[in-house]
Amino acid sequence: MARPVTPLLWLLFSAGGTVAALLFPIHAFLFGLAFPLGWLEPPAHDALLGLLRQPLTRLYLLAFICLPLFHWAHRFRYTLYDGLQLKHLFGLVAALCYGTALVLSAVAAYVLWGVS
Amino acid sequence: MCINCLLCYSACPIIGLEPSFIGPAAIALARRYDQDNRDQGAGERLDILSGHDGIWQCTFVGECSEACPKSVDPAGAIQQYKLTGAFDWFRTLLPWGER
Amino acid sequence: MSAPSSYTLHHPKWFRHRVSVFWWLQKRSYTVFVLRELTSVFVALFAAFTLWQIRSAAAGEEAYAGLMARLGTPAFVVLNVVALAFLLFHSITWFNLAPKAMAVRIGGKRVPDLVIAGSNYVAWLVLSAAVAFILLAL
Repeated sequence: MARPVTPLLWLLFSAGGTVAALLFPIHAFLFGLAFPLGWLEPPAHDALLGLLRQPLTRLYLLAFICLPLFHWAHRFRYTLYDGLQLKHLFGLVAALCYGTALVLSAVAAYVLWGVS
Repeated sequence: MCINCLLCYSACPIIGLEPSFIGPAAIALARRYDQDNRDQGAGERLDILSGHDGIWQCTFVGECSEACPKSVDPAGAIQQYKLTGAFDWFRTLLPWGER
Repeated sequence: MSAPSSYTLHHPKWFRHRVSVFWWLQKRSYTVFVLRELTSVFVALFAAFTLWQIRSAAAGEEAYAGLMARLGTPAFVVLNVVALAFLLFHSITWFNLAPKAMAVRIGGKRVPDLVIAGSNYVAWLVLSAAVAFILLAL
């Protein structure tokens, strides 16, 4: 195969897109609007921290952050190729997109591991 | 039923940007033969279609299916091919997977 | 009969219209497509935002309270409204397109697109309710 890694990247794109489609709107509504604007009672800090400490929550949040990042990386790469016709820079574009996703995923793993 | 009108090629923005892209009608036809249990060429087609000019260039704009006068739905065929292609590729990675 | 007509053979490399960088502005469906693809930017931003939130929460009560106060400012509210709109657009287009990528057959008959899309929406509702329940019951 000419591009053996593309199927994997596409599967990551699909998984990330599904996670984002199913879970991002409710999180965005609650944490972005309802809680800060006081429409709904936000969780107390220590209760939230207690929830964060659970291994299951950490795993959930790891998938929640990392998979959609790879969804963005793959999709944005092709948007740059087709929308802005930057295909000739394919190495740079790919490095920027997947590199950013990898770095942020590593940061997420580090932060989630270190929640005490 | 595809009548080779190539309206899908006119509608596809990727064809406009990347002339060597294999294109909706061809990929839909390839998938049609993959689905046909009298045919044994799936492996050869997979090699070409998963290459540089193949299915991975498609970003599911969907214009090809919109333009098709015969409701062939090439866009759907390509996405289904991506899915089966990706899983087939995974299977080749496994130590017991056959090509 | 008149003289036989001559025509230029088509050859892919001999002449191609240069496609404008703004090809996607020339037709409504292309623009909607690009907007759909740009939802991924807001997906990435929201993932980063969640990371920021987790870090603030882990850093202590004051950091978290500071973040919540910041989110109440008009700039962030506007950003979050726009982000939510794009995220909803992503969800809706994703669920509507999902049945095309999966040809599910039960008992030899193809499951109708509406059922697959519908089950996606149901899953969306159930999961959203579960998340809301967990967070509001804390």
